[in-house]
Amino acid sequence: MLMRTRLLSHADVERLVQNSKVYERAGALLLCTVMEPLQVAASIVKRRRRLDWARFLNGWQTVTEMGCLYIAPLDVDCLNRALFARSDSHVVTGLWPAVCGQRLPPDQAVRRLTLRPSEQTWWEDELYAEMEAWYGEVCAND
Amino acid sequence: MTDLVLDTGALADVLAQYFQAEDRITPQFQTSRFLPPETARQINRIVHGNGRYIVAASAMAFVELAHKWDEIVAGRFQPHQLAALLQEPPDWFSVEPMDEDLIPVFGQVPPEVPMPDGSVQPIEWPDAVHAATAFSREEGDLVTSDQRLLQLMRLRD
Repeated sequence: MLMRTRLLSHADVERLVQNSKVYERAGALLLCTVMEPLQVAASIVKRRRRLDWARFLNGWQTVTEMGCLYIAPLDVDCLNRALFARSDSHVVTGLWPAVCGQRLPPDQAVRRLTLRPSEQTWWEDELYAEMEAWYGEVCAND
Repeated sequence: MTDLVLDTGALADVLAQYFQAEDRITPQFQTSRFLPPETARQINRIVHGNGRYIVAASAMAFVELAHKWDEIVAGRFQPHQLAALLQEPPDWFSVEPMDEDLIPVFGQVPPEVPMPDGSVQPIEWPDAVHAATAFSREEGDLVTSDQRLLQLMRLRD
């Protein structure tokens, strides 16, 4: 039986960093976009969290060493896969409309790109909709 | 010499010149809005050098390009050209990932920077990602026209 994937929000990642065993019994693969730890880190750097940087870094190191969480990166493979709109024959027809436009917050653009479902991604397509439900409206152009 | 990490404006200028170059293997870059003369010279030294140093940009810079495509790119190149570059970047150019390894370096970027005029200016997270990408290089400098980031790099030196 396939193990389900659980998408973590930035609040979930903050909890996990403070207690690496918090999702031990979830019975699921844990997945987040790179935006989640980055958002937590940015809040700590701006002193908007009670968690201090040293404690965050220590917890973050534990989480990454345990390998209990897959952090979907924004890298060149992700950009190749997600930044463009393509025809049925995979010809680039433009930029993916869901990440264009100055009204879209950049953090949401990063989340959309990293989680955009494709033949090359292993997680369930529903996780993209779940992310949109948490952080923003699903783009009409998606 | 160091690696050069381009912010979004500098990346757009480099790509525009790259796509217009007759010789894309070893293009010759010129001074432009976001490439001061010394920066253009440094990029040319890297492009024509022995491969020790690279020109790089964070993956975040490409997100920002898409975000403000009309304003920044202004018709100088097309999405299909950008796709081709990402599919097969030239040897001297690297797209640096935003990944778990960047998080510890991100914490080295202060949330605000004291400016020469006595004011204190905030560093927003997308700009902090460009700075962290430069910090993460063994020898790296940031190409930017943003006075806050220039001051940040000066204070780090």
